[in-house]
Amino acid sequence: MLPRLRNRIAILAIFALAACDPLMAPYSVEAYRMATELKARSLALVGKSSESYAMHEETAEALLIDIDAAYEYARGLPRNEIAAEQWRILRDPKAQLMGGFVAQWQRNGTVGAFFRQDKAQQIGAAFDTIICLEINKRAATRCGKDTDGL
Amino acid sequence: MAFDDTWDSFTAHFREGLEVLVANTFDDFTAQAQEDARAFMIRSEAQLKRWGEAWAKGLLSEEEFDSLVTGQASLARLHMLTAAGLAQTRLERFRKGLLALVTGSMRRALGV
Repeated sequence: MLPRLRNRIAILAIFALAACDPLMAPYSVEAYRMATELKARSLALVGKSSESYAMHEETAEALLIDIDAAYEYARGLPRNEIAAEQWRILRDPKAQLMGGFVAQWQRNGTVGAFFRQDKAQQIGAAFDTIICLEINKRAATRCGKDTDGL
Repeated sequence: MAFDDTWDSFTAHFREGLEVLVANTFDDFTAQAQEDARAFMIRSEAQLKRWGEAWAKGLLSEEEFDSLVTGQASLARLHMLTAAGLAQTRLERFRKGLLALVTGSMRRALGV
């Protein structure tokens, strides 16, 4: 009798797990669109950083505002803390990804070729981590081995 | 059909399905996460050497070198967050699979 009772309790516990709230935000087409579009725009901007920052200031500022908007969007989704933290790091000037790159370009006026190339790979890889997480919310997907772009 | 017979049939179907669900959801995950982390570390090490050499040759300023190193550390953090997120996606997929399994096993046990 006891094993049967234990068995039923275990099954009921599994029912409870299955019936609990979703563990994370579902796949969002909008989040995916934002990440892929902002990646393309960011890399295009980095590619232009051999020219003076002043020439591209408006584009750079608009891009950073749109990255801020993507962060706020991610932060506003329930159970989406991990993606929101990824966006926060990407835009944080101290983390030396997109936010840091623009600040450095602005400070120095132009950017050297070697740095430009490797920073572009780093920033591209940073976006890829966000994109990888989002597409895996839809279906288990093996992200490319080159997600760090190096 | 007595309740106990239905219950036994349900648990038999459920256990069988649960084994498949667990295998499909989690089997390769740990190995894959470890492989990704190791590959990232190897590539980062190579990059650090490359940046050090470039700095020594004057291809990078000190500020640029620092930026690349800090950026790589941030990238490592992003990778860790992705790995944590992927674990969550697996758990969520497992939860959904469990829900379908409970319903399916009950239907089979009741013959509906």
